[in-house]
Amino acid sequence: MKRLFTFALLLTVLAGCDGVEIRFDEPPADNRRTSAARVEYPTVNLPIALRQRNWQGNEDEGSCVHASLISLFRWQGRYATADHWRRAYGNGEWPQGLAAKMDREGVRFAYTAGRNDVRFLQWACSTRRGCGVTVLGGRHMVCLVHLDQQWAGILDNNDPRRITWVPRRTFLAEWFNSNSWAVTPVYAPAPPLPY
Amino acid sequence: MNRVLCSLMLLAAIATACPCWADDQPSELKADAAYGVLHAEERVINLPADQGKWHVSVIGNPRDAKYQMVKGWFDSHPSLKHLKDQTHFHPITTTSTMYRDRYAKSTPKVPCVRIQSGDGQVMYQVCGQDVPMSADALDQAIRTELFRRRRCCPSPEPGPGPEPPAVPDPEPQPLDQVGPPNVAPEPVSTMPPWWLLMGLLVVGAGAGVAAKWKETYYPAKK
Repeated sequence: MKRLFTFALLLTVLAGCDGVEIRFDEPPADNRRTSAARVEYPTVNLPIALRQRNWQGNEDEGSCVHASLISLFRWQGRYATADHWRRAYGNGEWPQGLAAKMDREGVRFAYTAGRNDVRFLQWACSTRRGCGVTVLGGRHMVCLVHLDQQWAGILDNNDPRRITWVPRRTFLAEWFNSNSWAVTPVYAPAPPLPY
Repeated sequence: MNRVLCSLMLLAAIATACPCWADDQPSELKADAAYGVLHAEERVINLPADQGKWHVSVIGNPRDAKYQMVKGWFDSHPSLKHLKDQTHFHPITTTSTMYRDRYAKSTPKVPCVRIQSGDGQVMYQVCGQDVPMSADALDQAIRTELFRRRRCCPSPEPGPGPEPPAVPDPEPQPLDQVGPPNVAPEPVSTMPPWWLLMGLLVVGAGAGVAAKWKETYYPAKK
């Protein structure tokens, strides 16, 4: 009986070693040497004065998608487009509607939706462009301004004065369950801080 | 059989119709007043892998004639234009919020021409009165500095292409040597010579065989 108890205890301990943590489908981390360069946190470090706050459109809807986009336009040096966008558009938005507007305005952009495509987020942040990402089950869009192996930096247009830092996996869990829509203009990002 | 066929046809008709419904824009879409996302669909396009692309910044007061002239060189001078086309080009005015909040501290004087690698390292910078009078001279200064840097410490050329593949790490050294290296002379072997060992082996084997032989064929009487 004592042996049986010991055996059962051993099995329990070994099962605990394996863990029950939930793993997301992430691309494997590459083994490149880390750069000696100074790392800027967040990658998309837009000055506070240029961060667009969310506003209520003429249909009493929030304009989070447009606000996120305007912040990204400014980060990518498209100030005139940002101003025009603020004047011309507002209210709620969805991927095809936004794509149609961007095409109409001749804006160069990229987006993904519904595919849990983490590579898109990594591309957007590694090229220092950032992107708008859906959260809150798909009801809200914020700017993803940083994504590394540990942390995600979020610029919420309802509280644009601060960057919210969440663990990468937590953010991905949120995004995966919010229709995983991400969109960004594709222009030159602001130059990095010199060193 | 007919029933089965009818069921299959009905199923096929429904399966065909479903994607059509999915393509339609939902008629009743309303976003929250505090947020603003309506709906999501799928589409992915190709993305430029330009994280290694260099940056050229021309910083200055927009009312300064020299700033305007230097900025213009990147459109009129063939070599500087070629550089501009290969990099992210940023005219930054001192009146902009971006300059005031982000670059003012790191810009000693204006006008300023700064070339940075993709990760922000300054490869060339010239500011204030050090900015030459002609586009040719600026082009020559940039060439000289980048050439010198390439000779001293090779770095990637500014270009739109993807980053070169990362150099793999060398094979790790074996781990049997722990601590400082042993510099003492080789120890002299204390083992007996091989022929003595062989002799002992033969004698031992013979004695064993003899004992077994005796035990088998001439067992001791009890």
